[in-house]
Order: sequence, then C-alpha cells, then structure tokens
Amino acid sequence: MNPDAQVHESVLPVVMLLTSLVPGLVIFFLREDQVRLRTTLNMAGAVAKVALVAVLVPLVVAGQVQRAAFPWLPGVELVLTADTFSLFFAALSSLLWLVTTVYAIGYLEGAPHRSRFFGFFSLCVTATVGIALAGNLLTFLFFYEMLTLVTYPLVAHRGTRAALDGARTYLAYTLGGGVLVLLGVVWLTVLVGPVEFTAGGAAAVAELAAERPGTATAIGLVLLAGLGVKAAIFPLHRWLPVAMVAPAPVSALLHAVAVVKAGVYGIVRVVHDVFGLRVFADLGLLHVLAVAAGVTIVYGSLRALTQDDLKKRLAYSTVSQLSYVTLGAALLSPVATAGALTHIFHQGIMKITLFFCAGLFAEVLGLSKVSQLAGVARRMPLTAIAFTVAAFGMIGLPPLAGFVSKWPLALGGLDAGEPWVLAVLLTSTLLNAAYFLPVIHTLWVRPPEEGARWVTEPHRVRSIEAPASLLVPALITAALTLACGVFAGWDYSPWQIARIIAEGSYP
Amino acid sequence: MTRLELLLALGCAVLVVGLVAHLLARDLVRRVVALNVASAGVMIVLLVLATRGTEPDPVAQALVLTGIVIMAAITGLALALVRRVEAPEDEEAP
Amino acid sequence: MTLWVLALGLPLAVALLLMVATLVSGPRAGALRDTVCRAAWLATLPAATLTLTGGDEVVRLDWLLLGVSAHLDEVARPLLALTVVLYAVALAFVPRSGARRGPVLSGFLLVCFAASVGVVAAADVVTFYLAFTVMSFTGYALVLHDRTAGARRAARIYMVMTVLGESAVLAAMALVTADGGLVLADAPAAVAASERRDLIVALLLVGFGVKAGTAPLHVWLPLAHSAAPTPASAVLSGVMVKAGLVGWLRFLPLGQDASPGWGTTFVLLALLGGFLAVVAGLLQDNPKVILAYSTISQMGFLAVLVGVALAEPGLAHACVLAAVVYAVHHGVTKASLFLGVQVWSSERVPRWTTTTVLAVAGLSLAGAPFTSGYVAKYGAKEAVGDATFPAAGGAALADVLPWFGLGSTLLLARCAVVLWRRERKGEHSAPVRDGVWAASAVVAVVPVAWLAQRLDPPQAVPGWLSPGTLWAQSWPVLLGVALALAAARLARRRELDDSPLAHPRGDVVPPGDVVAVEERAALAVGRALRRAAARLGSVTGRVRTALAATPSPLPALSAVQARLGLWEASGAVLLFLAAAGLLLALTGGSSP
Repeated sequence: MNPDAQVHESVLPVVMLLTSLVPGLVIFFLREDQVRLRTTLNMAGAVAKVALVAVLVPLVVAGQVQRAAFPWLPGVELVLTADTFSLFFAALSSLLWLVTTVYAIGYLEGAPHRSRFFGFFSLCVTATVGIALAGNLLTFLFFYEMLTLVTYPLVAHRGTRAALDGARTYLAYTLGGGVLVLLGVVWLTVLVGPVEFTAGGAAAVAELAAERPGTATAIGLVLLAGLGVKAAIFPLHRWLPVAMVAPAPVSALLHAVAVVKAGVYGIVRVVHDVFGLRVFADLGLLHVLAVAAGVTIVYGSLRALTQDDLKKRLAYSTVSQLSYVTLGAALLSPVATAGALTHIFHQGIMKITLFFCAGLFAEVLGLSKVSQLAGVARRMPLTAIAFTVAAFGMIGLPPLAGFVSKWPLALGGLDAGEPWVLAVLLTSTLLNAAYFLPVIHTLWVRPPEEGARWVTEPHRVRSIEAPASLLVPALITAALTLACGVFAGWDYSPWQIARIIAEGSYP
Repeated sequence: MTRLELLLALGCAVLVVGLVAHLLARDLVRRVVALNVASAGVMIVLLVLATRGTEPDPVAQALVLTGIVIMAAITGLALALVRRVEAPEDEEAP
Repeated sequence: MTLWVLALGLPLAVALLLMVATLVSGPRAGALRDTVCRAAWLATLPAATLTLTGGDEVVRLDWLLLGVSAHLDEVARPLLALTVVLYAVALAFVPRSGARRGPVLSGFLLVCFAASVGVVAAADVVTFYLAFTVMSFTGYALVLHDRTAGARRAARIYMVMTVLGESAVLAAMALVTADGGLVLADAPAAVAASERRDLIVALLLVGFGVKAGTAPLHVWLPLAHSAAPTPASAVLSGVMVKAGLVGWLRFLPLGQDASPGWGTTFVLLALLGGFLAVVAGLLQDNPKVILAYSTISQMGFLAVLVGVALAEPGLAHACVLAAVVYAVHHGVTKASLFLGVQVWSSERVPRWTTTTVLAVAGLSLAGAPFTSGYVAKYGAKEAVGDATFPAAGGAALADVLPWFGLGSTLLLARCAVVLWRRERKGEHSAPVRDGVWAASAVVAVVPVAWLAQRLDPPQAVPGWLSPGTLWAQSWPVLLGVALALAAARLARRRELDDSPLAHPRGDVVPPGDVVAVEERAALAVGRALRRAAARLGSVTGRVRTALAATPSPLPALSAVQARLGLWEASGAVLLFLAAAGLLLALTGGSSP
C-alpha cells in the first residue's frame, strides 16, 4: 500500500470475498440435479466479482485504497486492503474464474459430485481473492492455508487411486510449505508486531534487519522456502506435475490462477512490501532468490522437453515460467519488477488457454499425448489456433502478451547489472521453442495417424468442432493473449498497471 | 526433629508408599488397598497440619472425618466394580 | 498516418479474410477465396502510394505493443519500393501458378508483406523486432506450403536456424536498448559507445547472418528457396534475405569508430561464402537450388560492402548507399529469374521470348553492360574505393569484387543448362502478368540508375559508352561465358559420361551442403541429452527405492507403545515425572 495513498474504510473488500463465499456455501447443499440453480449461482458470483473489480480499478489507480479490518486475535487484526497490486491479482483471479467456471460447467456435464466440486471451486476462488486482498502477513497466512485445504478435494475429485495419491503428494508439499510460512510469519510477528504490507517495505522490519541481520535472514529464508513450495521453485516443485491428475478445469485454475500465483504473489509481497528490496538485497537473500529462480527456469524447460504427456509438459512449462516472475522480483530494477508483475497476468492467461486446449483435446477426442495429436488441427482448427497463439505467446514472440513481459525482464536484468539474466532468458526462450514448436508442428503439419479413432469416426461437418462452453473460453483467453500484447499501451493494460505498481517499490 | 515434623514425614512416607503401590501394582484389589493406605497418609498429614497452631484446627479435623467416610464409600464402590470386572474371568475358570 | 495504417492494415485485413474463408467450408466461401486470391496484389497499392508520396517524418503509435514507430529514410524508401514491386508481382503469380491451395499461400504472402514493410520502415527496436519475427515465422509457412517430405525437411531446418538467429537478434536488441539505442537512428552510435560492443556486433553478425545467408549459417537457404512455391521463392530471395542486410545497416556501428577486426571478419566470411557457394551451386541440378546458391553468393557481395563500412568509417555512408542500390538491383533481378523458372515450366509463353528475358535477367545479375547490374556493381566498386583486404596481404577489394561477377556467370550458365533440359508443361497463361514480369527483368536498369543518381550523395553511375568502364565491367562475364562453353564441350566427351562431376545430379554436394553434417551433429546432441535425462531418471528412481526400502520404524514404535500402555509402565513413568518435578521445584526454590 502506498504511504501517500488515500485510505478509505469500506466494506467493498469484504463484499468481494462474499461474492464467491456465499454461492460456494449454498452450492454445497444443492442436489446433483439442480443444474440450473447451481449454474446461476456460479455465474452470478463470477460476474459480480468481475464487475466489482472493474469498478474498483479506476479508483485504485487514481490513488484511493479501500480497507476493511476486523480484530481477530488480541493485538492482531484481519486486514483486507484493495490497493493496486491487490486488485491486479484479484482482477486476474476473477476474470479467469469467470471463464473457468463456464469451462468447468461444460467439462463436468453429467459427471458425479458436481455440487461438491463447485462448492470447493468457489471456496478456492474466495481463498485466492482473500490472498490478493490481504493487507498484512497474518491475513495472508490465513487465506494461504485455506487455499491449501480447499484445493485438496479438487485435486482428488475423481476419487481414483491415482487421483488420491497425487492429491496426497500435493497436500504433503503444500502443508509442509504452509508450516514453514507459519513459522516465518509467527517469528516475525513476535519480534516486530503485526506487519502490514507497505510499498517499499515495512519500517519495523527494516529496523530488525539492521539490528539483527542474522535473524532477519533466517526469517526471510524460511518464508521464501515456504512460499517457494507453492511458487514451484526447484527443488520444491514436484507437486505440480503430480497434481495433473486433476480434471482439466482444476489444472487450469491451479496452474494459472490460484495456487501457483498465490505463491508467487506471496514472494513478491514479502520481498517488496514486507522487507523492501534494499533490505532484502543487503541481507544477501535477493541474490539467492534470483539464482534459485534462474535454476528453476532452465530446469523446468529441460524437463518439459522430454514429456510426451501434454499436461505434464505444460506443468513443467509452468514451473519454468513462474520463475520468470520470481527472477524479475529479485532484480533491483523498476523495469524488471514491472516485467515480473506483468508476467503474473500474462502467463496466467496464456497458460490457461493452453490447459483449456489440452482439456478440449482430451474431452472431444480422447487424446492426451503429444504424439497422438498428429494432424488434429484438421478436425479442431479453432482449438489448434488458440493453442498456437498461446504457445507463440509463451515463446515470447511479438505482438503477443509473452513478449510484453519478457522484454522488460531482459532489459531489467541488464539495468540491474546482472547480464546472466539475459542468458537465462535466451536459453529458456530456445528451450520453450524446442518444446512448443514440435507440438504445433504435430498439430498442423503431420498427417493423421493411420486408423486413429478420431479420423474414422464420422462427425457432422456443419457443427462446430467442440461444445461451445468448452471452446468459447479457450478462444476468449487466446484473444486476450493477443489483446494484452497488442494493446499494451492502453492506460489500464496489465503492463501499464504493473509499471504503476513497480514504481511504488522504489521509494 | 520435633514430633510434628516426624509425624509429617511419616504421613508423606505412607502417602508415597500407597501411591507407588497403587501405580505399580497389577492386581485390582491390591490397588484399592493401596489407595486406602495413601488416604491414610493424607489424613496423617492433615492431622499434623491441624495441630500446628496453639489451638487444634477444627476444620482440618472435620476434613479428616469426612475423608474417612468418603474413603469407606469409595472403597465399597471400588470393590463392587472390581467384582464386576473380575467376574467374567472367574467364570472362565471351570 | 492513415496511409501507414492502410499500407499495413489492408494486407493484414485481406489475409484475415482469406483465413476465415478457408476455415469456413462451402461453395460460396470457395468462390470468395478465389476472387480474393486473384485480386490480392491490389492490397499492396497503399504501400506503393506510401513509397511515392510518404513524407519522412517519424510516425508513432504509442498504444500499440510497447510503442511502435516508423519512418521512411534514405535506406527505407528504395527498399520499400523493392518490397512493394516484388510482392505485388509474386501475388499476381500465385493464382493459376500450379501451387496448391493458392488462397492460403496468398494469405501468408500478404502477412509476410506487411511484416517486410515493417522491417524496412521500422524506426525503433521493438517495431523492428516485431516485424522481423512475424516475417521469419510466416516464412516458415511459405516454405512448408507444399507439404512434401522435402518441404517439411526444408521447413524444419529453416525453423531451427531461424529460432537460433532470432535468439541472437533478441539478445542484440536487448543489449542495444539497454545501452540507449531504442530509437534506430541512435542505435549505431549507442553500439559504438557501448562497453559490450564486441558482443553486440558478434550477436548481430550471427543473428542477421542467418537471415542473410552468411556462411556457415546459410544452410537453410538452398533447401528453403527450392522447397517453397515459386512466387514465395522469389520473395524469399528478393526481399526476405534483405532483411538481414537491413538489420546490419540499422544496428552495426557503421560510420562510427573503425572496427577493423570485425570488418575483416565480415569480409572474410563474405568472400568464403561467396565463392564456395559458386562451387556448391555448380554441382546442383535443380534450377531453384542453383539460384539460391547465387543468392548466397550475392549476399556475400553485400556483406563485403558492410565489412568495408565497418572497417573504414569514412567510406561507410557511400558503402551503405551502394549496398541499398545493389540490394534493389539484386532483388528485382533474382525475383525475375525465379519467376522465370515458373514461366518456363508452366506457362504458355513462347520459348524464345522466355529465353531472351531470362538471358537479360541473367546478364543483369552478372553485371553485363547496359543492365542494372552494371550500374550497381560499378557503384559498389566506386564506394569501396581503395579499401584493402589486410588478410590477403593488402589486395584491393575493388579488384576482388569483379570475381563475384565471374561466379554469377558460371552459376547462371549452369542454371540455363539445367533449365533448358526441363520439360515445359505450358498449361496456363496470363499475358498481362507475364508482360509485367518481362518488363521488370528488362527495364530494371532504368529505375536502378535513377535511384543511384537520386540518392544523397549521388552514387557514381558508369559512363554508358566509355570503353574503359565497359571492359572493366564485362570481362568477368565474358570470361565466365568462355569457361562455361569450355566446360560444356568437355562434359560432352564420351569418357566423362558417368562422372558425377561432369553431370552433377545434386549428389556430390547435396543442397544445403553442410546441413547434413549439422543435422547429424544435432541429432547426436539430442540423443545424448535424452540418454542423460534417462540416466538421471533412473538414478533418482534408484535413490527413491533405496530410501523407501529402509526399515520402517513403525513396528518397533508400536511395540513400545503397547508396552507403555500397560498400567504399571505408565504408572512408573508418571511417578518418575512427578519425582523429577518435585525435585526441580525443591532445588529451584532453595536457590538464593
């Protein structure tokens, strides 16, 4: 929160949480066949949240901050603030929740336990928005742990042996990370008192770092390790590919919106708004973070090369791309920070498009491996176009969104005097091309396999290639990928807002 | 050591003996008896405390009398329970 | 401003229309596709108007991407004219060209056209990179268009080289921007003043060298230019390789402090590529491959000019302008030659007409008098002045350059031989466009000469009738023709009937020469990586099973728990704890 922003005590942050909490709780008690009511509740909540965000964005960009506080423990408050960074993340979450809701409704048509699914789905988004709106470390921790708990049933939704095993690994990793975060937060709060997020770093923490640098370093390391689990930093990233057993809407949500972005958001908040960049750099932790991020970027891309399962390939790609954000956040340059923040938004949109397309291929044609996708573009051209656009975006080709976030990261690395960042980014671009271009080539160029099931099945020529509720979200997010790149100069584009936020970290 | 201190030590010793026997014995009846011994020790301590001033303390003496009665009742209940618990085992023996 | 929007937007809009019409099936969509395909060349007209009437102020759009800007300076305008003319003619040659799926080809050509305009006219790094990337990736679609096995291989190699080149270009762009060269007008000075100057120049050499066909990064060129449909080849050779040249001209520190080391490197690589390309090209039997090798050789000529500009700042401006003139000449001539291959093979134009036009174009490429090549090569020789080539003991470059003409003549003679032997299918005919094609080949000298004199400062134009110049320019051609005739006589000898050198079929040196070696190396690297990954996977697997096989402490713990659960055991524990606590309290309380 900017020290010179006007703070309004308002109930809007709470309302934002309620727009998904209330429908979620109600949906739990619906019967399986009350489809229309459930769909209405879902969509109403999603649309209301997006509308609230849209209303708040101009206000917040102009400098007004909305704040709501509740006493919780003695001496500690639960604080929800809607400042620029919070709204940035909340906008991403709510927008993508809306499209994923539509997608999930179509994907799970006729599947069992839909009420349970959508109940936890809504709770998941509530937790994410809570993380976004958190105004101090304890509130952040509260919603962070809530997110872990409500995403477990989503990962385990199918109930098969593989799903439960995957969910157990997921829970083990994220609970472990949560314990570390708890340790760090409690330690810091005991030493310094409740820490509110302040742009440029909290003064109390800076004093702590000056007086007791060893303790501050330890706290910082513990927090980074704990947050690093959700942010999939090597070697804490293993849960991400394992959690691919979840249904496609869950993978899309986890890997683009909720869990991973929460981890990365937490890291940015801790580095920039709790410790402050200067303090973190003086403690030597900034360099550690940057190196860890660099290693993860290269490692994730290398692992993605050898995966034949499409979702696993996308999972390792996520591991790699997330660390772009971490790397950018760990550089002492406003351009790099802006690039990192923009990448939070852009990577979310691009990744969710890729996962939607993967889900489309799985649902409509039953294909889940890259080698099986030969020639599928003939049968599903629109999906293939969406996939191609998003893949080109991930590689970082202009004029797509990926370029708009990679370019400032490269410039920022040079600006901060760390040219190895450019080398890492280039290696990653090459590797990205190496594992995405073959998929695109397989889709468009390779002739279909002899006797592939989808070739021999008849399909009506006049109808569109896939159910609209699955196809339209993918096309919307693909169009957004293009729009966020082409219209990056618009005043409210993610890039411009990221620049505004980044300025605050350099007082 | 004065007579009071000697009696205090005696009371503590009896209490400890009773407690140890209660916690380390396996046989249920023995445990009930040990509890009685422990209560005796507590009563000795209470009586010593009753005579520590110039006048004997009537409250402590009343406590001891109440304690005797309660102990009797508890012992009866405990023995009844012991009978219940051990009855199936006795029935198994031909 | 509107003119710019139209010039770039109209081709993109038409391309989008074609894409939509392709996705939708049905007879009406098919008719729409064919009509649009036939009229696609009209979409280049706004850009033509822009070339002729556009001012040279910087045009800016701040909301697009990270801010795009464009302007027509002395380098951009002639190259833009070249782009417009070549794409228009190529688009006119697409319908009824024998290429399958003509509308798709037209669509990609239109996108490529818009991107080429962007490359030439960009005024800042982001715009340049945007246009360069779009152009490169659309080029892939062009190469791949026919979907034969050869086309797929050519496209794959093209893509690999392009991605490598793009990465180098991206690195160079980032470094240039970080050193203050965001606006292209400031870029050369920024590079010259930068402390990472050598790294930047190296990256620029590699990155744009891939595009410009500099040896040893040229391997994609012969394969791609022959695999693409002929209109696309014309454009690839005529305009797209020039994008590499544009990159060099825009970013290299020409006219700033001298870089003799880099200058020599450029010249060396250029000469190497220029002459080895001739050797490799002579051993081919596909006319398009031979023309592609000719392009490599000619781009070497241009690279020599760039190298001289790097090494001697005084000559830089003249060399840059000479390079522009030469690029225009080469573009028009090479495109005419490529389209001539299509006219020869599949159009119903009389044999002698085609032969004459092709001969004129070939002579122009070689630099015979009264052709555009005459003007361009003379201008280049004058611009190089008395620059020497230190590595060869001070030989004057102006003496080395005419040998390029010899090489071109030999290649074109070989191409003529191969083409003469080819069958003519003669199915289609379109007199207007064939007329335009013929005119472009024959009349090219006029615009090139006019351009040379219009530049500022004007390029030297050779005297049309001075015997000294005529001899100096034509001896390479005459020598080449003589050598070609001698070789033809030699090859007809009976004992050389089976020699693969005398009658090459493209097997001694396959198209793409070293690409086979590089492919094998790349595959070996890929296999090694996969083996390493598999080994890493097996090692982690074994570690994991070893960890899992450690005896679990659970049974022991359960036994202990069962023991402790007994009354006596727990009672003992309780007593022990109570005694310890009592002791602590007593000793703690008695301490002073």
